Amino acid sequence: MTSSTRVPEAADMLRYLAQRLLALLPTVAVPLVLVFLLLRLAPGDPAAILLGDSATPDQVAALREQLGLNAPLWEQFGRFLGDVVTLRLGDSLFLGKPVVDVIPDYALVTLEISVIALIVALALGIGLGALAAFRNGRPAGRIATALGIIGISVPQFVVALILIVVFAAWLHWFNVGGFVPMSKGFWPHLRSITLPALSLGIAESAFVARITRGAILDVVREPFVTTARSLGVAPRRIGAVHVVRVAALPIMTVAGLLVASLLSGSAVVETIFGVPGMGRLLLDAVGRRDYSLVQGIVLFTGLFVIIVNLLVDLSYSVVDPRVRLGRKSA
Amino acid sequence: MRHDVRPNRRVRRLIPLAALAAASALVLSGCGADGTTSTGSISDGGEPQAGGTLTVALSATPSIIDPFATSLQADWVIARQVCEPLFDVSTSFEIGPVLAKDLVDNGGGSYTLTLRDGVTFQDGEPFTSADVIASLNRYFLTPGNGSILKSLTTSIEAVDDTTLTITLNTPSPLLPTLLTTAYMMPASVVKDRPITDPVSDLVCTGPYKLTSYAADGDVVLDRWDGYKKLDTPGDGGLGAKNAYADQIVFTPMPEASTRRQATEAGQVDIGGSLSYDDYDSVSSGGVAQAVLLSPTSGSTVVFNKAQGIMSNVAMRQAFLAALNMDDIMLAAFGNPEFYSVDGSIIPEVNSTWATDAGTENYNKPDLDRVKKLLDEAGYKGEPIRWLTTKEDPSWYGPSLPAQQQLKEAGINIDLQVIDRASVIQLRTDPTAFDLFSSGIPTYADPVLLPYLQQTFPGTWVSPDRDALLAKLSTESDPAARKATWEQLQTLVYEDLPFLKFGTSRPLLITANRVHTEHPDELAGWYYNTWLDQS
Repeated sequence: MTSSTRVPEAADMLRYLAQRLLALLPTVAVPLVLVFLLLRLAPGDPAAILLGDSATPDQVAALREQLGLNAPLWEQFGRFLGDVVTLRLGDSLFLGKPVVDVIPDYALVTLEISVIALIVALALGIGLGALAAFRNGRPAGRIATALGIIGISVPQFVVALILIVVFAAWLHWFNVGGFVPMSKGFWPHLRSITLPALSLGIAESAFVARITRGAILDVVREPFVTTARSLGVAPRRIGAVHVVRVAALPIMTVAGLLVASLLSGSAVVETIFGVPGMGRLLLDAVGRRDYSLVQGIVLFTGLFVIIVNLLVDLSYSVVDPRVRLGRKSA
Repeated sequence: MRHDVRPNRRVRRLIPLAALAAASALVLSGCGADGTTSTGSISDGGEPQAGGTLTVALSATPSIIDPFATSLQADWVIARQVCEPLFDVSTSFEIGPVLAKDLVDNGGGSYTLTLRDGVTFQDGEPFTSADVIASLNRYFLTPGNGSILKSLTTSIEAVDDTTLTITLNTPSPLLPTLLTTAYMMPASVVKDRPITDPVSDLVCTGPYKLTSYAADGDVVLDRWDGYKKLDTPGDGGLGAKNAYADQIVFTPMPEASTRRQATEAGQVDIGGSLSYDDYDSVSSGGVAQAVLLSPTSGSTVVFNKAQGIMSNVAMRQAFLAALNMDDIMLAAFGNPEFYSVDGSIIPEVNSTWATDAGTENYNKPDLDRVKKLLDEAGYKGEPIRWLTTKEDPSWYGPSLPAQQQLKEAGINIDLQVIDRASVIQLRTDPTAFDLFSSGIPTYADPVLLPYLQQTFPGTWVSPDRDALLAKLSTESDPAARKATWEQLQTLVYEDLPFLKFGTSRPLLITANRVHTEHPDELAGWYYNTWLDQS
């Protein structure tokens, strides 16, 4: 490759990055504005929840005033924008501290579980999907396909409960529930997060398996595969080098989408296992109408999902040289 | 074996209510702890043993551990082990002194409060009058008891390090009761501190000290060797707090099934708030036992008295006349062991105040009477909006069978199932509902019932209620107060500002090695619980 071709490619990439980063603003802003409005338009008064049954209407009204909940919507929105721009994100109404101080601890827990779950989902899903495709029509392929269908049909919480019964209640290999932080030791920590991560990962692996199977079956029918066969290339080499590499693109797309799915699925798993992650924090915050906290979580998870998908897009050109980001097709 | 706390003689003289409560506790003691609560051998643990780590799985550990900064009593579970108020309640809602040694009525609303000698905070600083003043000034900022006490108090002044003078604007028998939720903290921590600035590192005088706390994570408490305990037998918040376990760990497990599995797997010792569906399988299991506590949680509906069809008292009476509470509670909770059908607004567990006064029409369905009352109310079958939520089974459970019974009686219920936060807000808007589900916990004194206040959602305006509440707040003779409460409960059943279906019993699961003399302490007091060390 000459330097004259390298410069335009780098420029294309930079232009593409700039476009994606600009597009990030409305992508984050739309859900944020929606969440801001929905929270305030839905019934539920954080001051009344905070003060409980014994509070008088005067006390509730005074707290609403103190929390700025009586201000006109546009004024609250202006304050909210200011909090977003300054990245302070306001104070949690219930926890009494800045949202930016609350989120990191919870986010790290969810991130850790999600990363392990992603690895499990991809390893299991790609393995099953490849088996189903390469052994298509044979008993092993049929079993793998059936497992994929079962996996998609079984709800996440059922997977979690089965894992609890087998690996925690019967075998005592892992904790039934509860969370042990890393500061209490690596192995106790691992014991506490393994089942939540497995629950998430196994539930999502079925989806990966189906996409993998479809992608591989599509690619094996391509002319270049037939050509490779006719040239006498070993089937194993065709599968491992040519087919899998091309089929990797849809699988990578799915991996990007999985991040969003894992984050939303974490709410269920974190509740079942009692893990203090973002999903549970969001559920609690919505239930208590903790406006600032909900907005902060939505902003954080939105940004996270967008950045992960951007990275996935950027990695396309690495996996498949035919893909040139930012260049208009002829 | 059940023990009673015997308050200081002078306190009893000055607070006749406590004497009446003590008498009722003696009656309860005749039933024995096993008879009232436990289904297993939890109270047959032999001699108490010290040692071990008691792990308690809760549906959530508190987001805020400062009891002044949260109105959720479930959030006070840490404070109950770590902190102490001046007065407290037993498992049978008897009131007695804890950090207070003596309370002398000087007449005219003036009281002399003497503190126990030699009590120190967990940081080694002595507990003094200055701490009481700082804590009470912050307590005044809280809704409920704190606000009521503030409205009664003219001044609090320190006489010396262990003596204070509290001046009320009118003599009131409520002073010890209102102090039962005023946890004492060092003045250096709470002086001039708003309740919107929660204390995150509790330092108090209780039998356990806070070792580590993580929001929504484990909370670890260690026995505090400097604790100065009372020498009277322990029961709930009163008497000796023995701190049998070396350590108490609270761990959050939101799912009831996870709490059950974790207890059966030996990961935790006590799992709180079990699903009633699990009762039979757990109680027949070998490694853990199901424990039903005394009925304390009333399932209720509150009517809109301000406007709409339910503002007509005949309509509310028709509602009562249509309902068979036995069937409703059975359908809602599934097993008669899980609840009691009783019309007493304050449940039997608080025998000082439980009464059947005015309950003649409670649980006496009579369709002819319903028809007469509906005609009187001019009801034409229009839908009646009932707000409820599935987030609390004791709210939602009775609503479906009641809706069916009301339909058969010709009352058309539009059941609106929404989230709890929405119910809590919509019930403050008189145009948004005709009735809403709620729950009445057991209060130490009827004056504390928010349902009796005009300001409570539903807006009950009643001069008779005002007069009876005023009498109840100032009358000092226990027998006269009980009589007044009976009149007030009778008025409630005549006017029906709200209606109670019945009272449910909390269900827990405990490992077989867990023992306590008072199973009801497992509702929130854990220092007198011990673990079998063999």
